[in-house]
Amino acid sequence: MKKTITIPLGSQHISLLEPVRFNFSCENEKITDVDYNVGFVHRGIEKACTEKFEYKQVGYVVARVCGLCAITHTMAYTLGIEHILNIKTNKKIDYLRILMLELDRIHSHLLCLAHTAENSGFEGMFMKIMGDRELVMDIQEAISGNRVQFDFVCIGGVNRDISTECEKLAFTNLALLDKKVDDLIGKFTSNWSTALKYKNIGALSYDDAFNFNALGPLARAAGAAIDVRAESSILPYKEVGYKMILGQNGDIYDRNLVRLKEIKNSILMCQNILSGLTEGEILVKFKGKPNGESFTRLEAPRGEIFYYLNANGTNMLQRVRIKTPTFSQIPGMVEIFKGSDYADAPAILASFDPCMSCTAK
Amino acid sequence: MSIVFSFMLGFFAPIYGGIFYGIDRVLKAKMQRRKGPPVLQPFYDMLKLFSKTKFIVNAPHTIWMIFYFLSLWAVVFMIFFGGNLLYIIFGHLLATVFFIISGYSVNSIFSQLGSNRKLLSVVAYEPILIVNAICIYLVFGTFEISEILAAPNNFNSLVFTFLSLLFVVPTVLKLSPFDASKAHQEIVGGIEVEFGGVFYELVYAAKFLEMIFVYSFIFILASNDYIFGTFLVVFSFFAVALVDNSTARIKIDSLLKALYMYGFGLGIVSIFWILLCCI
Amino acid sequence: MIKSIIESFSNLFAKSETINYPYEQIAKFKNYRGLIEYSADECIFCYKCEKVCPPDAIVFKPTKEKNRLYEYNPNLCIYCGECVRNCPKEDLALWQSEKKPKII
Repeated sequence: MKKTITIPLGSQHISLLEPVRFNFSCENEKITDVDYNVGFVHRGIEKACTEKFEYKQVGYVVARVCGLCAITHTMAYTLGIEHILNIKTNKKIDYLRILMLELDRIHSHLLCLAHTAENSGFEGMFMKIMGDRELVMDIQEAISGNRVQFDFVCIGGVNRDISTECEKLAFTNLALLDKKVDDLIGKFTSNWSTALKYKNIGALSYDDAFNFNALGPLARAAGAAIDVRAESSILPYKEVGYKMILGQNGDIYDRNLVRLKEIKNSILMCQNILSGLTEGEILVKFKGKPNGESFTRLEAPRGEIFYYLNANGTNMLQRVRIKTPTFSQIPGMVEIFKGSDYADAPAILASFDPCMSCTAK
Repeated sequence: MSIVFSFMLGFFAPIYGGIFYGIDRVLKAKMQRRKGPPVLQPFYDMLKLFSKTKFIVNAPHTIWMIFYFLSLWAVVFMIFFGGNLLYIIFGHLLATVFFIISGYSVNSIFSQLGSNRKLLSVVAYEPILIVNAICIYLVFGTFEISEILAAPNNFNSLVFTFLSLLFVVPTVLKLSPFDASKAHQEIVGGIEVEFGGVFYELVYAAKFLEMIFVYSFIFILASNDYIFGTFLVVFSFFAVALVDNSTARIKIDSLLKALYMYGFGLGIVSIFWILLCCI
Repeated sequence: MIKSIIESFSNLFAKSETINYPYEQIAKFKNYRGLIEYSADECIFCYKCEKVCPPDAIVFKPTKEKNRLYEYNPNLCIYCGECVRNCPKEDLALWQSEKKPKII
């Protein structure tokens, strides 16, 4: 007789934002084996980028890979194609790009925190964080003019300059958010029920972080110093006050704290950029068609994002290869699920901040 | 209370229970800085659920659930007719067992896990209810609600009983942190998941009856002082909503531990308190 | 937990963060990206907007008369504004308004 029961999580489940299917084999509620399927939202974007759209349009197409890190995908593509076309951007453009990237990181992290709270049954916290998140969304909307798909970055620069009104709004909202994040840190650390739900649950050790190729906040929570912002100098992160934030245990509790502290760091960076912004051109003119190949690494909110571009001197690109952070996190995720309780599974899943649309593309 | 009045209270329990539930939802929305649904939302839900297809997974599933609803309603009638406290507790247990059996009768894994967890939570809160019934007996010398409500107020000796009942309220109503048996995000509502249409409306209305059941326990602690009793109910209503808003769901084994340690512990303390200090 | 309880309690008296949407309008920001608007009198028919538009929302349809007819599909449009930036007569022939598309 079969000793285990099979609990399906997905492809449609209340605790999931996006379609992914896990089949947990459980003994009582202890997970012994995991089977997974992530390819529910394959849209053929990589193919479309090489066959349907010209290289100038691809930036807007790859933004649709993911709703949350829309800026990051366009950024990575743009940096890659600028490398091929040999475009040198000025300081102002770089700073504006970092500003939007960091705002994106803040709201993505806040969404992840809210989702983790919701999945562990903490609805009050979910509503609170989603309310606070509006502050960042407002800044992004005021700067770019769109609420979700910003379409802010284009080849050679950015589409819009920051007006003084936007700057003022950004300063007030960021200062407000800074206080709220401090408050959130207090609330996440001094709650009896979240401690039961988060501490020592879903822990990824330092060695496993390397073995399973963990990226982003997941690796940093385990104490592994993996961050493209520190490793690469494609964007001037060091000038704007970037600081590596590391956790110790790699459990959900640490991941939450790392995310919260990164939000604080991002707020500081945004404030630095806004106060040091100079006048200047926001668009560099360029000519010619791309010929050559490039590799781009960029730190998305969830971890390292990788773009490989290959162009042959025509308007169409030959190859666009996207590797998203969630793709690398799945092995680690599966490993963590084994041996933990089914009751913790949704919270663990949310704390990984998986983006299935990114992964399936 | 006249018989007609008691009958009316019992008969219309699902209706005014729905209004209480609506108030609860508005209160929770206010605590989360939302506008929230209108107070009559449970009835709008009811109208919508009535218009849906009457889909039955299998006959026993629905029949056990109808038994659950009817026996729970009977328990509410017993409360308003001033019945015996122990009969009421065991009547409620019987109703819950019907519900659990109904959860086991379908093949859905979520429903079965919900039944498992509900069974464990019953194991956790039922002893507390009985210990507290004993406390009430020690103070008033009777289990009959009609006699308890006529007795002079003696809340000083029932302070710990009240505190221990505060642990039972969220467990029976499936509110955070003790809502592992419902666990919306894990097992999609547990036993409730397989009902649809009119039959889900019965499960939904049963929630209102459960509310009346647990809060009437708190109400009788104030015996003949009805204003103080109302205050106790409103206070616990607020306290439970506040805690629901500020805690995560704890796992079923933590729930058992917490209820046995604090809920049951407070019940035992209450017995000693009554025996040593009050008599 | 105590902190959260205190906050939940104080929220009872705070203003709600959500609005009664269909009856109250959402405040829009300045320079909101809305519908693309077009003036046929100023257009020089260079077809640049048609060429750059990523989702093909702008199409110049050939008609029986010689010149082509501008056709814009707001439901396809992604409001990136690339057409406006590429227009040689920006703000005269093609510009981005702050209007919303009609809900059918």
